[in-house]
Amino acid sequence: MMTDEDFEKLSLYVDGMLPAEEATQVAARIAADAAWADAYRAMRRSGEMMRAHADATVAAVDAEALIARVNAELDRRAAGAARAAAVQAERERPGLMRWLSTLLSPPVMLGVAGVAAAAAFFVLRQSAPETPPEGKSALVGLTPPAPVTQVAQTPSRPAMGPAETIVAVEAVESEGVKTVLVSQPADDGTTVIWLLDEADAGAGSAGAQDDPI
Amino acid sequence: MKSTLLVALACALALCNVALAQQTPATTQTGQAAAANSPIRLKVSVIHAFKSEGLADPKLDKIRDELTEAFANYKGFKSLQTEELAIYDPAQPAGAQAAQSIRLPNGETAEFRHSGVSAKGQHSIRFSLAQAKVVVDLKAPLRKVFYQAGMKYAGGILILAMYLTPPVSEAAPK
Repeated sequence: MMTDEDFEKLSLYVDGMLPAEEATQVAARIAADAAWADAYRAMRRSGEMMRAHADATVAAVDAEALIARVNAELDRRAAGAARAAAVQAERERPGLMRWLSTLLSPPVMLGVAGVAAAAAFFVLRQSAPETPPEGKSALVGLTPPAPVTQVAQTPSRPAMGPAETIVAVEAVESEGVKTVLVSQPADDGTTVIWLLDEADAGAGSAGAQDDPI
Repeated sequence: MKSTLLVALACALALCNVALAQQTPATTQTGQAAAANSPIRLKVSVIHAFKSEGLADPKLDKIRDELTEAFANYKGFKSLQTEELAIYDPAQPAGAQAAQSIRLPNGETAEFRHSGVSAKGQHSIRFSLAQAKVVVDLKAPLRKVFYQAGMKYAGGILILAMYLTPPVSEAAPK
């Protein structure tokens, strides 16, 4: 009488899973014991039938068609996932952005551009001087607190381009020993034409920093 | 609907802008014509600036803040004399305006000659100091005070405050 343990060991023998020493012992039992021999033959037969069925099933499968179906299914699922992600992103986008995307359509943009252009033209025409201040440079003065925009000591003419609302010194000629400095703010400030002795002109920078280098 | 409204607004703004652009030059041209056809006077106020605190000269009340700011090293300002020069006569051809001069307290002579009016209404003036041998060409608009300063005088300096008066109908006091 074979026990469950005997059938398990015999099954492992049939599958070739037993160590060599135990496999030798099982083989001896099959040869000596009729019950072991019948059980062995039954297992071999059922195993062969199962392998035959499996082989037949696998052989019946069209591998290329199967791969094509799998790929097609993967593509379909990927496309579905992408659509779902897009829909989800659209749902999660802030309302302002959806509104802007609608607003930024070409006809609306044309209107906005027109308004911006008209407003910019209006503002620039109101604020821009017709003659840009040119040639305004260096800063020196005896006392003027406002930024001095020109130093003139017999400069070449014209020294400075005039604007409509400021006093513009165009040229200075000094044939004597006097130094002429022009304090002329770029904006609507006070224009002062300084006439200084040489010593005073040197002292004119007294309020400035010492030469740091 | 929104786009239609915006386009309409843009058109309205553009039309307003064009209207303003057409109106402004006309006004400016009128002012320039008046400036070119009216006699212009140059007011020159001779001021003594000194570093000690002085009584506030009531004649300088209108420009006191400007003096204090532009000549921050000086604490006292006193008006010594005020001259009014007919520097531009529209009856005279351009470039033939007579030179006008004033005698300054330090013995210097300041001379002014009007040499033209620009298309933008600025008056070209040649300002010279004979003893100092300095000549300055400048352009000044009407109603704008400008200064010459630095000549030493009585422990301080002289400041010439100059001001082109507009045509009589627009004249502003100074």
